[in-house]
Amino acid sequence: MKILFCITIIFFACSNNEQKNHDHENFSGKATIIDSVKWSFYAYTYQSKVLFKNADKNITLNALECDVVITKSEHDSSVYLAKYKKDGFEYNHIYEGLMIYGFKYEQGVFTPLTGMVKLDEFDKLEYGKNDNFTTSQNFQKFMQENKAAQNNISNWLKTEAKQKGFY
Amino acid sequence: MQISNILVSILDQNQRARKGTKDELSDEAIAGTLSLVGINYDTKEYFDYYERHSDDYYEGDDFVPTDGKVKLINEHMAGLEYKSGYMRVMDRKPPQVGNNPFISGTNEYGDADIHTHTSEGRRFRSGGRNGSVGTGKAALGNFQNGDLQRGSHEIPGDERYRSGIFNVVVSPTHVHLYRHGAVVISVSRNSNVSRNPSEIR
Repeated sequence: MKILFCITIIFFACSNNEQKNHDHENFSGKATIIDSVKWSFYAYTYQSKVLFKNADKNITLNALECDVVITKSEHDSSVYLAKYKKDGFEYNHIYEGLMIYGFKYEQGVFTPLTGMVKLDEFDKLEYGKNDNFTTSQNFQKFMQENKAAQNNISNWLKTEAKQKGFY
Repeated sequence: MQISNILVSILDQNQRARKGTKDELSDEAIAGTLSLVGINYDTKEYFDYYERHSDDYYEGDDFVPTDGKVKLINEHMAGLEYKSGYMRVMDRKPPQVGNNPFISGTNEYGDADIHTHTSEGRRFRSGGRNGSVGTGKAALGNFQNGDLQRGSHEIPGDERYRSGIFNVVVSPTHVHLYRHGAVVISVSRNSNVSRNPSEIR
């Protein structure tokens, strides 16, 4: 009886894990959804400047030198909100380039949340999937080609790029 | 003030529940009810604010118009201050973050904020992608249910929230009152109801 119970537990644990991994599959090939959202956020905004507030003044930093914080929407489990972070500063918004607030994740596609703006590339999920892939490839290429100039990129991004084997 | 809270709450819930149905309250009905709480939104003042910033053309390279029209126009933002029964545009400017047609920063002054929607209905290209901007309430973005609260007055429980204060978006054609990402009332430029503040008193 005990053996049967253990087998049952193991079966359900494995089934659950398999489902979990499937849910987390995405274009960047990472195992955790949060890492994938972070990567996507960098990929879609890497050429942007980010505005932060420090005391009474605004400062602007390159996106790649900032950390990223991801929070899950309290109202929609498929929505992940993203913002940049820099110790000692308060995030304001993306200053140069399109403002992205996070992503909606469905059927393996990350659709950028762009507020009042609607991107044609995400009219259909299949278009979005292509855009995700191209964007990630372009970002990867940029990272490789500009490696020498990137002294200040975030530690997470550096580690992630190394894990992906191109940095 | 307790009655005001209830009225605003009812309005808010009503609009959410009946949005897009035949039972949705008209602009006129909402404006009339809002005026009962003792806070007047002078839409003429807000359209004037819009006009003052309507020739601040975007000069960067990130967004290129593809609709054959003039350059895109930068958004602007200012504080709103509750004064003598009206929500007035403040002279004091928030930290300048300009030169972006789709975002205008975060205001920290006053009781709420106002920002312009200068690019409604426009099409553009950015970062190799084609984009368009919604119009009217659709231009208020995809965020409902308070995922992106910007100020304490948008958080339920805050004293200013309870008092019925709203943020304002002003487009070429409409003034929208909103908070926690949801429009509560929209008034068209041609509306006879609230262009003149005395009419919504």
